[in-house]
Amino acid sequence: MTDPAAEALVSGFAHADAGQLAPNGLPEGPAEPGTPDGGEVSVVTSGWRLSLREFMSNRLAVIGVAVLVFFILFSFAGPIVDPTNQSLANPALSDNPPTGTHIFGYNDQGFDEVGAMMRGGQTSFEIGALAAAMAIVVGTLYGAVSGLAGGIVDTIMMRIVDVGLSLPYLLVILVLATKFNSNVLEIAGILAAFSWLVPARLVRGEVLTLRERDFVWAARVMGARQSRLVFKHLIPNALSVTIVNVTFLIADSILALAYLGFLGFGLSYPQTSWGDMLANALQYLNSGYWWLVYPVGACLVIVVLAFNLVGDGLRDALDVRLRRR
Amino acid sequence: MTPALDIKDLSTHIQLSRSVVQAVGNVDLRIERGQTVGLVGESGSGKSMLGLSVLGLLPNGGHIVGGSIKADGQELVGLSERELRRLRGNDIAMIFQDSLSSLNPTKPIGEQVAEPVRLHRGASKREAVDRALEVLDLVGLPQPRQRLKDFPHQLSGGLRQRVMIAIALACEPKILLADEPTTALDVTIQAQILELLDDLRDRLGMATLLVTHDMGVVAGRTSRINVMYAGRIVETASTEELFAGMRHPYTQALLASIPRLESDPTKVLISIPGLPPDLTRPPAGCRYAARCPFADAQCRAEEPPLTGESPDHLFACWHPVDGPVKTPPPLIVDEAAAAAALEAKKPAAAEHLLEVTNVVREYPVKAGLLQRQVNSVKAVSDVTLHLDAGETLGLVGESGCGKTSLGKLIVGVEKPDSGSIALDGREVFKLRGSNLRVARRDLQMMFQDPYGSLDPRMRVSSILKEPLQIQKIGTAKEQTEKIKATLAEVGLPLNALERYPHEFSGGQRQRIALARAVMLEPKVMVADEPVSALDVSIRSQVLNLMKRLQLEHGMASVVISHDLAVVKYLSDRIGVMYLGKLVEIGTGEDIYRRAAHHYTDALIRTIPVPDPVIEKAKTEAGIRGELPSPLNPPSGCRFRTRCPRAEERCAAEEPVLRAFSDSHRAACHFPLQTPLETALANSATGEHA
Repeated sequence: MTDPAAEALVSGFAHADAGQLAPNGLPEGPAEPGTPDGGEVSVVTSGWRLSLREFMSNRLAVIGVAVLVFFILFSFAGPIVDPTNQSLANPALSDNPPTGTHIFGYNDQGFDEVGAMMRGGQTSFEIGALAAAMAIVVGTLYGAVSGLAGGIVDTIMMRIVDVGLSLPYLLVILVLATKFNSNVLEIAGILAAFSWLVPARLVRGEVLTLRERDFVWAARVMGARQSRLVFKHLIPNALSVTIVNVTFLIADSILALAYLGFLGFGLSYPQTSWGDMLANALQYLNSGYWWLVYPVGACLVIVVLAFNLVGDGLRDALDVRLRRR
Repeated sequence: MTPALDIKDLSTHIQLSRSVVQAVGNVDLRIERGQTVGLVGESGSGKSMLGLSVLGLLPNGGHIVGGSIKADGQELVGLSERELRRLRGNDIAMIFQDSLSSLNPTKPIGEQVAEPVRLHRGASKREAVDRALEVLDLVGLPQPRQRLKDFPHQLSGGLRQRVMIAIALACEPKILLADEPTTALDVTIQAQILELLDDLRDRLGMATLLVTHDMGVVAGRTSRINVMYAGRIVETASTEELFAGMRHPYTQALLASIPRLESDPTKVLISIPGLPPDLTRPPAGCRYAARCPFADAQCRAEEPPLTGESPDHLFACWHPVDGPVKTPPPLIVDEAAAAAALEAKKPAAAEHLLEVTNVVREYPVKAGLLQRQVNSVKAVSDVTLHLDAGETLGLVGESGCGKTSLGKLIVGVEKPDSGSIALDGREVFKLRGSNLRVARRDLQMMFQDPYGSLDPRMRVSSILKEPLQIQKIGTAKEQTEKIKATLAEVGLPLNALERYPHEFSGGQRQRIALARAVMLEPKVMVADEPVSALDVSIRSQVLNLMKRLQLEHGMASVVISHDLAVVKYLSDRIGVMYLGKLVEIGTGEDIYRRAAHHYTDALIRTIPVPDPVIEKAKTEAGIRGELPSPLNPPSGCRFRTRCPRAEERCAAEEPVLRAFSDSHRAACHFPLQTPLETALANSATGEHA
């Protein structure tokens, strides 16, 4: 799809090679023959590599990554390495205390507790990642469009976000959760329906400064459409904000899933989550069945904490203003 | 007598996480009482670090590794933080560059000026306020008593800088370190501040170190100049001697690279190739060798000592030059290509390529709950001008005069409130959809900040391809051919294509920005302050390149700058703007030799010239006072509040542009030249008589 004028414009230059170009008009030639008069380009450590280096020097964040890797392996590779019965109830083993091979004992169904924790971990990571992904895509697009549009469109779009943020989050999610049949995808969708609001706000704030930057003006001068500005310039440059936010979103979604499960509106049987397990354990709290409460609770706290540590580390590494030289 | 400040063999290093920057190396510097000494260098040459070393205010990781600093005979190196604190602001004071970030925004200025007096003199609150009033009066702050309770944001840039100076002077320091004290200010304000510093030095007998990158600033205000390059003093001499008979090739090239009002625009500016060395790994020999045209094996192997025939003029060079560059060579342009390119861009329908007619642009100021418009910033008021094919029009004026707004109106990214802007007879800002997109090809823009104008997340190849992609020009292969050709044209190596913007120096980025702007073969290019963010030694490279590309592509350009010398070097005609109005327009020679408007005339006289003979002969500081607010510009002639010739008529009646020659027009009731109509009338009456 080119017009003739444009073709003529290109062909005039397509055959010009560097050797035929006019002399550069400098009084003294470049220091060495063959050196372009703009000078050589020195190789500098790329921005991402600097960020990685900064991140790796943050000990807590690296520990966070290690913890997450451990728990992901535990949840997804664990059942393969150490398969346990998680489908056929066995009343004989119901609430049996820990033994040497079953270090956290059995729950009321007679399932191995460690195996249940693995299954709970799977759903936690799946739903957390899925909800965060949906939220970040929607939030980033919404925020970028709102920030770029400005004026009345921006005002309306942001007031919608304000309304969303003032709703009693948990109550609405509980109401919504009763209307769906509670599989991984739907719960993730419900959680994402609320968690996109914060990234939308953050990205809009970033876009408000980005859209006045000269490179965005330059693209406008070239005749770029709004969609090109959003996808080629604004979103890539707001990436550090979104990357940091994703980790916090996953942590929040895992927590929210635990609330849902605890209140009994979580996943339906046979799927389980850490929240479901805690709710189950609650009735045995006075019976001294500690193995049903503390290990799961610890998993939840450690995973959420690890995500937050990684998020903090990423923020420090990606924000040039916070970076040490 | 002991000198006020005596620095001997000082070296300062800055420890980074993985390397050490050798910021200042073996520097000697002396300042006598009542003397102003200049310290000149590019950014990164270590000149600010030298100043901060004296105060013991080095950034994190910075420390003095050797040498001595004696203030009035007292050794400062090795003093405890407590003892240094007693000296800082009392015996030694510093003026910083950015007055907005150096003043505390939450405290009234009176309190900030009084603070050092209370700290160092143990004065009571009342005594300190009295002293604050005294110094604020001394630095020429109008009505200091009423302004004591003002906050920094309520003052203009020039007044804030005066407050900064007042803080520095509050305890009558013996040594004043002024680090780029006027760089952030407009030329008219710069002249006032420099004169104030001069005057205060004479009255108070301070030793002053004037740190700057601007050779024009030091020319008229110092008795001695030290030129610093890559952490070393490379040449030191009395001001007159340094300008007339410099011996170091760096000083010579630095001075020759500055465009001057009287320099011949058909000649190239001398430029210094390459970049300053990386001070984490300084070269073994002379630090300037890599960029020096005279360098040989000795220079690369052995560092030259700072010596000279007389102890008054020292330089560090194995092959010293003798005085300034005599005649710069002419600009070489491919004439045939230039003529062909120009022919292709001639307007088809209209008389002029670009016609701007009675354009007005005002930005609303809203206030209150309902966001009602209460006022407007009059950015561009009733401007009319035209541009022919292949012609370069310069726009000059102080910050806030509307020149950038006019530039954005011309490229069509902003719409005028009234008036018309026609490119080849078509009003671009009224077009829509694909017509608008195609029309955008003819209008391109180059921005001031080379760090902000390139998308940091895109490779250079994508940056350069973007205009072609947006305009859907050529196949992918043709696009690649074209970006390679253009990259070579702006003097960058091919391996630049795969790199990201942060891997380039400021000058190289500006070359990329220029390549992007010419990629679509625009008929008109607007360059907004194209070199003001670059270092002096890099500026001339970019100016030469811009000049050559303009000619070879037959592009008409609008060059916007606050620097009249830059504009005059690049432009055929110059428009002078003041508070949104075009007050004078004419050829470079019309403006420079035959200025008709008092503003233009004062502007030319105010610009610091890198020549101590001319600078020191200047007796007046040019324009008095500050730029009025563009919210409520003065009635009649907008310049009348600062004009030496203003009369009642100027307030009542707005002057119109009158012709002084075919090319020269100015809007003034009492012009410095005779208008054409008056001249004609005079000659007519003369014939009658």
